[in-house]
Amino acid sequence: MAEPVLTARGLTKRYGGVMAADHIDLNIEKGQIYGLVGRNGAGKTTIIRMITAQSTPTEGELALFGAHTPRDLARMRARTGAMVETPSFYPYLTARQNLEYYRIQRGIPGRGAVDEALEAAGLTGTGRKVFKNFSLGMKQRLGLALALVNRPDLLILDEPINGLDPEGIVEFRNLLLDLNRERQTTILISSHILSELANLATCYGFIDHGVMLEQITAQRLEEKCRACLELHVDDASRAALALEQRLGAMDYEVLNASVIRLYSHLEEPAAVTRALVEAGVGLSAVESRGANLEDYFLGLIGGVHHA
Amino acid sequence: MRNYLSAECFKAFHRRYFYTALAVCLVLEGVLLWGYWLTLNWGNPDVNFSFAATTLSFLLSVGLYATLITGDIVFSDQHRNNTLKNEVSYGLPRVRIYLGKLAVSILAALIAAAVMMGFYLAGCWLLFPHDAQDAQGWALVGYCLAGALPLWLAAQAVVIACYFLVRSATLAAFLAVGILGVVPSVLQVLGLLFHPAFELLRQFTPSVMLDSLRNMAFDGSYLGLCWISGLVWFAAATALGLFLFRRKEIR
Repeated sequence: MAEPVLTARGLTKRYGGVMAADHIDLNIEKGQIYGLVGRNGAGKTTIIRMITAQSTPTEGELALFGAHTPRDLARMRARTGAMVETPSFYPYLTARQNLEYYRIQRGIPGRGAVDEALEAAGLTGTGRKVFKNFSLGMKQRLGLALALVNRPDLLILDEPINGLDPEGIVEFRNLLLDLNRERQTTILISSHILSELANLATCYGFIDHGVMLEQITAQRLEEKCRACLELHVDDASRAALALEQRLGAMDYEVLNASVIRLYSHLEEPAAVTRALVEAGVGLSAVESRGANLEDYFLGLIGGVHHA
Repeated sequence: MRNYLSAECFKAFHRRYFYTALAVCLVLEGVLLWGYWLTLNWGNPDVNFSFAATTLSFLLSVGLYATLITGDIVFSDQHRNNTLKNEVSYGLPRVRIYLGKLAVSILAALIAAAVMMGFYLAGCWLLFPHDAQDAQGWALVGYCLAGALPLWLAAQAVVIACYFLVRSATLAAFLAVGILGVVPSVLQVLGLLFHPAFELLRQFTPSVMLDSLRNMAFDGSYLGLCWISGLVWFAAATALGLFLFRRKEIR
């Protein structure tokens, strides 16, 4: 059984009459890259701020690495690295001095940890330049370096690619994939840039108006988004038999008693229709389906006009 | 806690702010010494070590407001820089964050006070003539510093509480000045208008006690009152600041 890294039950944050996070359930297991998907203001940062103790939940329970009492949670947060919203550092210190300050504060042994984090984040050549003179991309990289300085087991990243140039985005993605593969680092990453998450996540949580709409693995999402012909018939079992016998089609899924998804013969809807009609199956509709992550998300929240 | 204190010292003493502020204060002290030295050279017979050294007893309130600077050096605009989130997200207890910054601001204040006192008194010792009143001068300076110490600590606790609880450093500084400097005047007015109890309360505010120290010289019981009052202020400001900071949303 997979080891739970982060579990939330009914996590709620209310600001006056506004429900920023509404009874959120989350379950992230070791080794996952969990993509928290939602448009701006959906509640992603609110959830991450509660996980990282910047904000106290109005209701609900949170567990990190199985620990859920406040004292144990605080202890377990030392196994995490976080970058929440804009990276924030002391403007008058250099990249190295800023990291050295946090290294000392966190009791991380050896100055090598700072060099390693700077190198991993691609920020080795900043010299005496102080943080206030950094570009947005450099600030983002320093935020990532801080998140990595303690070699965390859980990396929590809120909109981490904001401000990175295209080359930086590719480097960043590869770094996360390497960390996940080589150190088994579990990653919670929020973004509204879905194409980026699609290249990374092994699991998704879709959130809108503070409500978790759906949690789904990347594999299951791929299956759901896979191009297919959706056949609405009077008897799915007879239709399945007809598809196998008359078309030799084996790649299909029976969704219920009257709907079948056929993943082959996508270019031959006429042949499919003929085969079913000849087998005496009542066919009421044939729909061509298929979606990417964006289409799926828009479908969940009710279309582009709501996004 | 030791790691936290080390990190705060690293940050506070790695910036020019502390050294610049200290240098400005030393220059001002130098100007004061130079002024006394000029009057001595012009033939003023009253200027001697004792006279110059006991000037410190008139400047105790400066130490009260200097805590705004030492607090700012350590707190370092945490709200404006949004750096507190880096600490709480790592699981550092808010009690440790609060007390750590308070402790290092006290350390910075003590170092600054020691350097400034040392510089001024050494200057007095070297520049001005000595006589039989030297011992009296040392005793008065010692008494005043012994009474001022707990009151300065109280002021530092008030300042740190304001910096933690108010997002704008400027507003926090104004609030601290209001509590330390304006509240006694308000209490005085309330005492005159409504009830003498307010006037009694005023007598136990740090700024009023600092002003009275010189006149109460060598009164041991007043020294004790300074310590009790200072520690009560210190504890109350820290408890209130900590209580509110533990519930504060970090942005």
